[in-house]
Amino acid sequence: MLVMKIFTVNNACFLTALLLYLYFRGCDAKGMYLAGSMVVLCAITNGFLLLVSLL
Amino acid sequence: MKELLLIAVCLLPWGVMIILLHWLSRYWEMRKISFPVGCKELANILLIENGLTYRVVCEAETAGRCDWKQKIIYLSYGEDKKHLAAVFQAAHEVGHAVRGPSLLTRILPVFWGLYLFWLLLCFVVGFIWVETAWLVIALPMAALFGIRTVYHWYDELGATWFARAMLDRLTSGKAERLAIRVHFAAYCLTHTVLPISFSMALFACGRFFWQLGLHWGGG
Repeated sequence: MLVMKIFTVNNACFLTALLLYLYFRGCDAKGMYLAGSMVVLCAITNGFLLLVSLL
Repeated sequence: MKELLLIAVCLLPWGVMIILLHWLSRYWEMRKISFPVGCKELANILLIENGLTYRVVCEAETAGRCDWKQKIIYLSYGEDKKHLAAVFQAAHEVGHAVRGPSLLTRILPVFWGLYLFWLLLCFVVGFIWVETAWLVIALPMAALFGIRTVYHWYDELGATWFARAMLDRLTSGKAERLAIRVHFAAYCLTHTVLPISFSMALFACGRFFWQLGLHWGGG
């Protein structure tokens, strides 16, 4: 249940980060770096959640 | 009828995506507006206005950053850059300098120390195999993440608000003001979502360690 909640919030964060990355792309280096970090963090979280469900 | 409904449901996300991309590209063009001062000049003006003696380093290898200890502001653009991203970054970093280091910045090593200890605890608790034990150790850490998130919001949104207020003074044009507002909203959204995804990654890592302990402990 907790894992599913984290998964849902995480994917919402991922979509937001992707849109922000598209906005900052090619114009704002720091914005791109922050939005890109968010995309990576969401991918890491999904990786952990996948491992949790596999174990 | 059912097929038509199914096709409509499948096409809906694409429609939303096209509208969002159209919206983004519209504001993307708007970001290219220029300001009357370069980013270094603006940073220096704002620093003098606030009675601060920081050194401004342009074209830094890191992304924009304010170093309170060394009293240096790092900007990732050239000193004569006048576009929105460059001046916004300059004003944002000066905002950090004006506000000073937050409590969280000062106790960051403590936070990481606590977190590493917590990971170890998650692993050990996994061997015990009691869901209540997991909740007992997870809730204080969730509270700590919550405090960290709120501090991040307070710190970053404050500096972003400062940047918006300073840039609004620089220009009176309608298009420029709208561009500042959109850029401000994008930064606010970034700084709102970033600590949430950061906390979730750290929290999911703890859950993974617990599951690992559970797996190895044969629970």
